[in-house]
Amino acid sequence: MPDLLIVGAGPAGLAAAIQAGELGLDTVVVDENTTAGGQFYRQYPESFQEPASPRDPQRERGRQVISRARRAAEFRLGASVWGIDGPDVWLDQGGEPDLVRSHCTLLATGAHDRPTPFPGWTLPGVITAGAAQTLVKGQAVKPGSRAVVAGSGPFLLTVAAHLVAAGVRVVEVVEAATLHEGLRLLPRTLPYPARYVELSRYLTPLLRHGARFTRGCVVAAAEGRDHVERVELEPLRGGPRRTRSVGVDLLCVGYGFSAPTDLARLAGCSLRWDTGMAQPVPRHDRWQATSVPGLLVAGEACGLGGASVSALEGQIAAIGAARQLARLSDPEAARLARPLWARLRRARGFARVLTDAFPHRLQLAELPTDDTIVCRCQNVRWGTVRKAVEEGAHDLNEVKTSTRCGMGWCQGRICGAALPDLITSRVDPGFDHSAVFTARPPLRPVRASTLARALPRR
Amino acid sequence: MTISRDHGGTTIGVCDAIVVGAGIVGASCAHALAKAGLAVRIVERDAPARGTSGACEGNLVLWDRTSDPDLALTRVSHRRWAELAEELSAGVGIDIEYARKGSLMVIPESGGIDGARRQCDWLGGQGVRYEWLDAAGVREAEPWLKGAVDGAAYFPDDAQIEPRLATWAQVRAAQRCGATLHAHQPVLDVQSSATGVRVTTGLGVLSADWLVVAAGVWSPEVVRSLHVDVPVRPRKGQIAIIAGSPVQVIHKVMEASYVQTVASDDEQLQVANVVESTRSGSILLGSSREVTVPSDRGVELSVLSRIVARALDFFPDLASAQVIRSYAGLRPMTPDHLPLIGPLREHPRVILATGHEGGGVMGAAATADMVAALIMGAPTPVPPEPYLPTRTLNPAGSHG
Ligand SMILES: Cc1cc2nc3c(=O)[nH]c(=O)nc-3n(C[C@H](O)[C@H](O)[C@H](O)COP(=O)(O)OP(=O)(O)OC[C@H]3O[C@@H](n4cnc5c(N)ncnc54)[C@H](O)[C@@H]3O)c2cc1C
Ligand SMILES: Cc1cc2nc3c(=O)[nH]c(=O)nc-3n(C[C@H](O)[C@H](O)[C@H](O)COP(=O)(O)OP(=O)(O)OC[C@H]3O[C@@H](n4cnc5c(N)ncnc54)[C@H](O)[C@@H]3O)c2cc1C
Repeated sequence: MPDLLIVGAGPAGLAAAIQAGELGLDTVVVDENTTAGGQFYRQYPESFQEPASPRDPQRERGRQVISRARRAAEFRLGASVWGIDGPDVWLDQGGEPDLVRSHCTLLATGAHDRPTPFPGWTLPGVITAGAAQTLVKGQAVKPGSRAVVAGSGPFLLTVAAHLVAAGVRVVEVVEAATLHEGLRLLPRTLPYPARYVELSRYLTPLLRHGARFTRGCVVAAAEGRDHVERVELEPLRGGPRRTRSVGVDLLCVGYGFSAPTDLARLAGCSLRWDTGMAQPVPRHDRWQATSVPGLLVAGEACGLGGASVSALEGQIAAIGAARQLARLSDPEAARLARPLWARLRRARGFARVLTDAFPHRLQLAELPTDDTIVCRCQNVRWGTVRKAVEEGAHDLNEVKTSTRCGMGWCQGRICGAALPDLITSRVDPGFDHSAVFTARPPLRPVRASTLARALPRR
Repeated sequence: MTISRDHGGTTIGVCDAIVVGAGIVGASCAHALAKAGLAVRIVERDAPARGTSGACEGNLVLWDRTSDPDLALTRVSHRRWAELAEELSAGVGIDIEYARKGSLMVIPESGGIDGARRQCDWLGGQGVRYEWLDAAGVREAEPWLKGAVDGAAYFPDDAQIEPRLATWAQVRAAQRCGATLHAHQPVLDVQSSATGVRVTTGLGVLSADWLVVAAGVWSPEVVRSLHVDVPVRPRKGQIAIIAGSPVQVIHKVMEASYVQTVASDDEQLQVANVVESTRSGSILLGSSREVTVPSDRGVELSVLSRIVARALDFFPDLASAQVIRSYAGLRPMTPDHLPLIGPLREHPRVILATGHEGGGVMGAAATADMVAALIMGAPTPVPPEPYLPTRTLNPAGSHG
């Protein structure tokens, strides 16, 4: 039985694996992706011929981290976790069921783009910024030829730069935050000069490419017959004062990230509110331990922070696990963690600047019309949900019972992240904003034959 | 009709009847009482259909009954649901997805034919329509059922409804007749006298002539302050849900041994195959039975695994379909497998309406008529004695 099972091989999980190896823990890492690296260190599948140039420094760095981690732990890639029950974690590895029982489990499951419904968001050609990044970075696929990249946060620049590098014409980058908001926070970014270098790496090619930059605007609607043809841009309060239409065949949208908490909730973790992500996330102590004994959490899975925060948290979590397993005494563990805590404070400081510069915007909740689909799996429209809440549904589970919203393939991972804002700002301010859909196994669709062979224990 | 009896203090409302619990049973009782002209208040700790009625299937099946009185009440209900489906659709515009699709009691090759024949003889003697199918007949009726079977009994009158929608529809219909729903208000205390009841909630005290306790497996807790023993225990059941199935399931398909698991007094885990398709395109795989405690609503993966495995024995082509969800519900079980409908011995104004175990959706319609008749002093749809909480509870009442 392994000492530590790490779910997720992104920056957090990889850093944890390396640290756990140094502490002599017997460690297993699982990730549903067939390549390790997570979002930040995304790698090409092994079958790919790496393009000779340009070499991507982030991918390079990721490759080094991955190879160190692979020496420190056993890796099981292409294995998705669909259930957790005390020390038991249930896997689906290409249709083969398996159960891993370990002394400690670390959830390092990361985040994905925050789903933001607006009229036309389900049209073909409208994808999330993260999906665009994955297609370009992970699959070397060019998702369109003429694009608008819209949303909020520095990630837009990253995605836009990657699209340009892949040969997509990026006509405009549309940022919701106003210039004023950005300038106000400028002094707080000065202690982080390295970030300017990072910024210029993305900004320079974009400027050279001739992309237009617009601030204080959002995409109010995407239009087209069977595919997106135009996007309607609309100023937020304080932005430039005109609405205009831009012709595209690709719209990439990303208003920040949200972290699925289904695994943590199924395990029984208590949650806290994270302002950066504007959602509840697992509560943890300074060792990254959750409220459930033996269960730890690190990285974007427990709040907005970015890659360096994630890696530091992963490293600390491995020390925390060794401490829970009594492989390290309290003073030894603290001695190891102290410098990491200091670096974490600094890294979190920068994450907070970004959160303040690109705040979560409730105004986005004004965009959907009654006709806009909110639950893509069951085709439930906003008007139906609005009516259910007006008729007395108090939380998401009640919305679900009366509308089928959240009952489909994704089990509410998408609509569950979007609805609280819509409901509190448009229908019922007293709606239980922190309540989430009840998590039930399987957390991912699992083939019946896999489930049937999932080794009953009694 | 309301007799005002304010005992002073914090009384915030006076009505004819308070119904505790907005599951399918409480909602149905509230509708029947409000329709009879009573001023009704429904007090629900959570919201409608958040208890067992939101974690079950909607089978209206006759053949899984286990005793004469059980069957008698069920047959009334069976008829009433067909009427209610139309009434609710016309009255409150909610389609409860009533479908008279018929059910198959399937006999696997591994055995069970004798028990199944005895069950059918009894049912037939009571006037329940059915038809025997041999293995080829089963294949024809249910082409995707490819597991080895000896045959099946086909019950053409069996039906299904969508229990959550039905619960909501009954609540809405009660409200249309003037009932009030107090959601998110747990009952904290109950006091009773010879002429009425006082119920304490977070809002204050409600007083009424009658209290109907329809709180499913939580009914014993609701009347704890009365120091009475309500013999209801939770028997947990789990369901797996399949989406995007390549397989069509035409009837309700249940294995014959299901009825033995219903009738048994075994507290240990039992699994029998129940498969039904719903209008939304999903397929429900059930189910398990296991006695537990009222707080245990979690899905257990090892049980889920067994349920799915059993379903694949009958529908092997489901192997490639995706299970997307599961849930667990708590059936309110009594020692003799009959519901508790009627007043408590020491508390004549407190009426129980619970204990339907795995047949509460089915039984709710007749139970509501029975409760309304008992309160209004009208004739009951079937003789009430077998269901009265004052009866002597013999374990394992069984027919034949
Ligand atoms: C598309 C995208 C691009 C980003 N780009 C940047 C960037 O450029 N710079 C930056 O600082 N931040 C970026 N971020 C934020 C990023 O999430 C973090 O910086 C960092 O990747 C977080 O690391 P992590 O280890 O917490 O999670 P991740 O890197 O997200 O890794 C989580 C891993 O867990 C796996 N996983 C999740 N659930 C399961 C399960 N049930 N079973 C098995 N495996 C599972 C996933 O497959 C994934 O590989 C990006 C985020 C996204 C969504
Ligand atoms: C897996 C499974 C499958 C099933 N399939 C079928 C089927 O096909 N056909 C069929 O007929 N039956 C079926 N059943 C059985 C059926 O679900 C139950 O018999 C029925 O739902 C019971 O309804 P109820 O209204 O008595 O209880 P519930 O629906 O549990 O309602 C009780 C209500 O009381 C409330 N409550 C509890 N305590 C308090 C309090 N202190 N104050 C206020 N309110 C309170 C609860 O919140 C709840 O809403 C199945 C059950 C399971 C578990």
